[in-house]
Amino acid sequence: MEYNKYSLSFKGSGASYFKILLVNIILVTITLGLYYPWARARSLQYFYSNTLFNGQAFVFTGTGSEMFKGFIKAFILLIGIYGLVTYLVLNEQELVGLALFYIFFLLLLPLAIHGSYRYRFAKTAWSGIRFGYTGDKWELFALFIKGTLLTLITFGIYGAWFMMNLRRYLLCNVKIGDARFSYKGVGGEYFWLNLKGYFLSIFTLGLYFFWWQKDLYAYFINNLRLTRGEQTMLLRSTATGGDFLALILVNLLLFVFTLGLATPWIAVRTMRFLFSNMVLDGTIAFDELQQTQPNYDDATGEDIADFLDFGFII
Amino acid sequence: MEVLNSVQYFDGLQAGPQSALLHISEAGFSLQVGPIWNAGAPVLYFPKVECSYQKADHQLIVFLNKKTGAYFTVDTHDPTAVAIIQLLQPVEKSFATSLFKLNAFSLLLIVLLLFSGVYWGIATVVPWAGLKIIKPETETELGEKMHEAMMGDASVDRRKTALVQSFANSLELSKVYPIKITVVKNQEVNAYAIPGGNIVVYTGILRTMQSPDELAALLGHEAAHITERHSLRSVLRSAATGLMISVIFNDVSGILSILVENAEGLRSMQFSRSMEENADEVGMKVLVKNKINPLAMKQLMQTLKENAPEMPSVLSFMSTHPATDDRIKHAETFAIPYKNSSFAANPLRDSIWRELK
Repeated sequence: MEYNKYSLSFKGSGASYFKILLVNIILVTITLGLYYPWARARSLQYFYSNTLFNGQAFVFTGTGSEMFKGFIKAFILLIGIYGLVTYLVLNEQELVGLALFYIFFLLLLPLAIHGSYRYRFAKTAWSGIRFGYTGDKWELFALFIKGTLLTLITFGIYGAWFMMNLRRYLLCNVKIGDARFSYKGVGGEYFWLNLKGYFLSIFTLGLYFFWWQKDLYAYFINNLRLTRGEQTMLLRSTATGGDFLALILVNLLLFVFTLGLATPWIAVRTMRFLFSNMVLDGTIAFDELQQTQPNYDDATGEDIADFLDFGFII
Repeated sequence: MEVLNSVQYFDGLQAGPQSALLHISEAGFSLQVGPIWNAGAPVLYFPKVECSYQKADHQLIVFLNKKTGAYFTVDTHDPTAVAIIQLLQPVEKSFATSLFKLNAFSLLLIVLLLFSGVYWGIATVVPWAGLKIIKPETETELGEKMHEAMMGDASVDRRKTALVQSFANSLELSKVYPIKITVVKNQEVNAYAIPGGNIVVYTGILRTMQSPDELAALLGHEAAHITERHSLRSVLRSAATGLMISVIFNDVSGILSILVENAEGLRSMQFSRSMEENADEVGMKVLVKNKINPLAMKQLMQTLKENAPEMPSVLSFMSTHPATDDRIKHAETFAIPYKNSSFAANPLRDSIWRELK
């Protein structure tokens, strides 16, 4: 097995992303929102095609029309839920309405995340090889219910464990071709990391916040790896607290002084920052990757997750 | 064989591009892996109906088969790319493509125009529809609730309330809304109208006023806010703007929405100024109808201007206080045609006034 260094880079520019956003906004506005799925597809395609691993771009193979179907389904579902809750509240059944609202979302969220992961990864390709998510809907569901209940009972303390269990489950089920990702972060470490970050940030009047962010990023990156049989690829973060301080402060200043117009530049420089502060090395021979993951076209979960503004953050 | 183009082929089986030669025909694409076309070697054929393309930043990606995930890429500047787009989508139908030909500045301009159009549209349509839908009776009901809440810890002067109420009854203030007066013990020089019919008058303003005609002018002005549904309109407008903010800026963080809210604040200020002038006018019409000289409105304004250094509430009589001079001028102009009309003293109102003082 040969030892390699791999490269991950982002070559998009603020100016071109700005144009994409403007065109998207125009089209979404004049179609009263119906264009949104196509707009989202375009943004995603832009980000994927400008992200290069070993010099080869990622491809987002999802389309606006697939996401439109999911968009409509998600829209009807959410309108139905909101409608029912509003009806109950207006008819003096506030408590029932509210309870139903939380229960619905508690049940809906894991299913939406599952759907989102399935769709998004099936539509992500690199060098002709599809990613895939192999997690089980009901396992994630059980994990989610258990995590939510324990987090409630422990007044949020279990949240760190819940978060790591969720992240581990999701990431350990992500594959690219016949290589599999794995994550070994655990709740205990994550809890202390956040506790330390929280209190030191208070003691240092907020200055430690940037080092806390550095730690969180490193905890994500350093615990992630990709394995293919005997071969592995490791990731390591090289960002320092000072780097994060510079990134976040400059982003903030850019945003404030341009009244938000710099948003695309901020997105682009953040991507660049995250990718350039990462070292990837190991023994995986990427040109030997085999296609193993199937195609998957249903974007409903993806769209629900997007509606709920849940993002794609793990 | 005609023209052959070299492309990067991803077979969807194993990672990595293979250089391949492409031949484009009417019905689809023929591909052969390798540097030179070998007549004897196998050729891959992909009918165009199963193919689709994606124009990425630097390359054109042509998906050959959804199931296998095979695709090939060519540089967007390559003439082959143009030929492929021609084959797969002969008519460049997308409006998006023509938008992309514009520069960022023009696009930004279009966005701003669109937004202001949408903003104007919603800020006009929602209040208009709301005014149509909400009936005066509903308004009175809601206003009654608002009044109750606002009067919670105020000390009401019952004697003066009854007096001003009978004063108001002697004027024809509104045909639609039941005008109900409440006099509150408060030294502030203030009075305000609540949608649906309630008018709140502070003892401070009663003490300041010089004549029964000024009180009539005050009540006429406040009643006009009610009959012209000014506050309802403001409420609807800010509701419409709030709705818009949450829709448009849902994901662009708080800073923008704060900006928009402040802009809306300026706007409603302007709005209420024109409403004030409108209320002055309607109030003066009430005065004329009751044989009171409309110049009483002007006198009232002058009295208040001299005696009210600070204007606390938004709903207060002189809320847009820098504009007072304009309003005085406006009132003077309104009164000109009535210069030679005869105005009669009203014994009932005069006697109420004496009791109030």
